[in-house]
Amino acid sequence: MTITHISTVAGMVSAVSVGNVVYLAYFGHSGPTRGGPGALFIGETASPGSNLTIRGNTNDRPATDIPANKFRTDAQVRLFGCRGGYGTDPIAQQMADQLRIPVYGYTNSGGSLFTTDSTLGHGGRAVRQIDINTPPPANATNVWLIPINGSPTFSRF
Amino acid sequence: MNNIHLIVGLSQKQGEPQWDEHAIQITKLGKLAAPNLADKITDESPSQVFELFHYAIGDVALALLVDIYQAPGWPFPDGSIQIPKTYGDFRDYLAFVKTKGARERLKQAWKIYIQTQR
Repeated sequence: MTITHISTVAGMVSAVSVGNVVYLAYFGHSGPTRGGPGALFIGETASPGSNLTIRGNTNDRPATDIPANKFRTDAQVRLFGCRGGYGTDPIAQQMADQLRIPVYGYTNSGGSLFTTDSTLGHGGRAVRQIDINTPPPANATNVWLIPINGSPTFSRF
Repeated sequence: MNNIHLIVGLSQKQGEPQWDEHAIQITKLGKLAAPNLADKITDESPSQVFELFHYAIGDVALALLVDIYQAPGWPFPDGSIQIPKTYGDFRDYLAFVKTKGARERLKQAWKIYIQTQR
């Protein structure tokens, strides 16, 4: 397993170019764009290549940049960010269309929170107010990122 | 501004347009919305926005001001005051706004900044 910090789509491309990828997990910002398709907001600042989306703005790069042939046929992608599967043409769908493997994204409409509750982290129950009021401590291990509203719905695209 | 409580999400990076229709309506007003938004910085009632933490109305107002002005500093707009950095992330902001008088200081700083940006 390799953990890589990325700030651009090119960084993601470079990371997967090692080939034979069986599992790609993205932890970061994501969600809908104004009136348009979903995106992974990979870079924290607005800069060229910092967003993965078909939208086509200056800072955007499409999912077709990601080389599908670097993934195994039994591979999968999981997007641990807000609204990765939500809305019109979500980024999970864009990536699934390009990579031809399952891509999972949250279809919940709300933002995300961190939790150390494994039941909640695995979608075993809905978020409660106490989960919102009790963020994990700074030194917590086994932390999950889940949608704030309802039961985490990790949908397959 | 009356619909700030209806906003359910905010853009997640600087320079990225708002996607929530109510946030769009407010930011379309531009600087006209600024005085009202600054007044709301001290509003600690819960909003519908949750992006890693539960935003108060005041936090949403601040985010919209930042969007409108693209000010050089954050959360104090002119950058002259830096909040303590313990975590290096959003938790620093949460710790700061919980301190006594912090939101009022922030509001006053933004009101002054708004005046200078007319």
